Amino acid sequence: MNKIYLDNAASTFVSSEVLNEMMPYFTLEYGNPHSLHSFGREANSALDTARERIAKAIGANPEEIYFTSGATESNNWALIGIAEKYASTGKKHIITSQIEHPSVLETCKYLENRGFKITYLPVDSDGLVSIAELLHNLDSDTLLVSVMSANNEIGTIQNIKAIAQTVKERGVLFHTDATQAIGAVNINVKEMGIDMLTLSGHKINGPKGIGALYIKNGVEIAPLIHGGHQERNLRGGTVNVAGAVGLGKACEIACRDIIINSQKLRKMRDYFVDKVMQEIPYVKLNGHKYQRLPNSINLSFGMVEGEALMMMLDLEGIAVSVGSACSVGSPEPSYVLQAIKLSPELASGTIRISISKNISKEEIDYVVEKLVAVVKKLRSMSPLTKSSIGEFNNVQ
Amino acid sequence: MYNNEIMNRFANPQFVGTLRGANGVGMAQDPNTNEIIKFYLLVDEDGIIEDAKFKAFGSAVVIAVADATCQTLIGLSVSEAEELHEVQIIDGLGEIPRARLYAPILAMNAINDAINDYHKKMRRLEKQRLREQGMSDEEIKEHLASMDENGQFEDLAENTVEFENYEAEENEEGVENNGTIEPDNEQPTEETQEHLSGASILAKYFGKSTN
Repeated sequence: MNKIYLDNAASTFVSSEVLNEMMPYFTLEYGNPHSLHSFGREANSALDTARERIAKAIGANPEEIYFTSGATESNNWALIGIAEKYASTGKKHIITSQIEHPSVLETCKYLENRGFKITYLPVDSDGLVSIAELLHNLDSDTLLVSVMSANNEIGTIQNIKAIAQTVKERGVLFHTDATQAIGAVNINVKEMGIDMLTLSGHKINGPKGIGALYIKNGVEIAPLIHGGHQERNLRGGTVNVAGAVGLGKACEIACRDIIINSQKLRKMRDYFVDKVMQEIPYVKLNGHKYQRLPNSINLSFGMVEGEALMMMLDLEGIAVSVGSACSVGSPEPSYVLQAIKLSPELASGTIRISISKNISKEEIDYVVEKLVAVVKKLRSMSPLTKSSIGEFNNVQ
Repeated sequence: MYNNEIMNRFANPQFVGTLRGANGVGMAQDPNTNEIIKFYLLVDEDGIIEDAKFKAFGSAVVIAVADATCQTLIGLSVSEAEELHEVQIIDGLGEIPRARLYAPILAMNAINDAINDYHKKMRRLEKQRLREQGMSDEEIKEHLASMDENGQFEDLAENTVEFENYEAEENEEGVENNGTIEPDNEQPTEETQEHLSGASILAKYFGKSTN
């Protein structure tokens, strides 16, 4: 049985280039980068190189890059760190969107329980945040706006530059979770006016367990993890050197190959979607048709339940996702799909496919063939016959 | 993620499908996940569930539970089926993940809906029979009311699947679900009509002679 992995939005393999770069830091250059001896200095030098690579990838300065354990920690830190630092100013209003990653939304709820006011901006049916809505909600108490660069479920890419400019004009700090966007979309934090940015290694063929938070020089933030003096006294704990090296290399490669990867991915993605639309009736593509991550395919199938579809594909060796990995285990339909006003029935019948740059046409043909069979089988088992025709991109 | 029993029933359900001649059809929908189970029951003249099938818009666990439920139902009397507990439904399925514990409750609700439908059909047939005997609508109403008092009818759920013009039934009407469910287009066969309107069935159901 062919095994095909189509869940790259959840995690990716570590590329050989990245792995080779990391290897010496497990067994040869294993010093603590915060030690003063030569072993430590070698490891610290590797961290500096990694910082430079990450900074170059996003248009930042190296000293503005702080290593964390991943995007979840970076998001927690950005929100809580700013909230705590500026709480005494009386500004206790944070604006975010309804479709952020759980690590942002849950952190916002945590802050709400501590007296902060959180505005969750709605999105349109494509998943875009409205600048007008943002303007309407910005007020004199607003401390921070956090809007993700690209959504992990439906792939919609936000107008980050316009959002950031709107926010900056009012003297408010702006954070973006760019975990899914790095390597897919050109990001320059200085040109775009971004104060803080989250990124993660394992979405860009780097290792798991490492991420970074870009914090613009001049932005003050309280630490989240207290301990040693690492990361300029802002993040306690020995840095994962091998991980950071891997992250640095992964960022370098992702941005070096951004054009060629994006082109190839878009071509394969569109081939996949066109084939599905031709061969399976009552299907809806979610997310913005054009302003969408090049690897993202979020499909709703009428009359079919998403988890059953995912499990049947898994039995055929094909790995896809129902919603995001971070919301697996929750049987309710995805909050992102609810936010884009997808009907409950279609929201329940949705899977997320995120292809890799190495996928071939033959693999796509194989997957679609299996998808046709599985959808047919599940539809024959379903008590639903027809749904609102207007909701589908295709009706046959 | 799920044990072998659940996966086997999900991948190869033995009782999926519709049932021509079904005289108890019902469905239920989970309000949080929107999943649906629909049961088709064939109840014989002795009130025993002779056959059961299901259709499901649901996850792997829901499909497995629906399949297991059908197997449990076959051979039970209607009153035994009404007394079924969720634990009995999932017996043999192994551990069900906490997040899916609503599945057997969903199945129970669908069973109850199907049984209510069966009772409604029996009541309708009795009305028809009494009308053929020349009783007026008022007399029929009194007659059925007295049978209600005697406990000869179960409580009928309000949202039971309705059949309009049962004698010449065309389509099943679906339960409201944001207007997205449309009817299955099942036509009753001659055999169905004969089976369902048989005097012997009514006699057994109402516990008296229909002559």
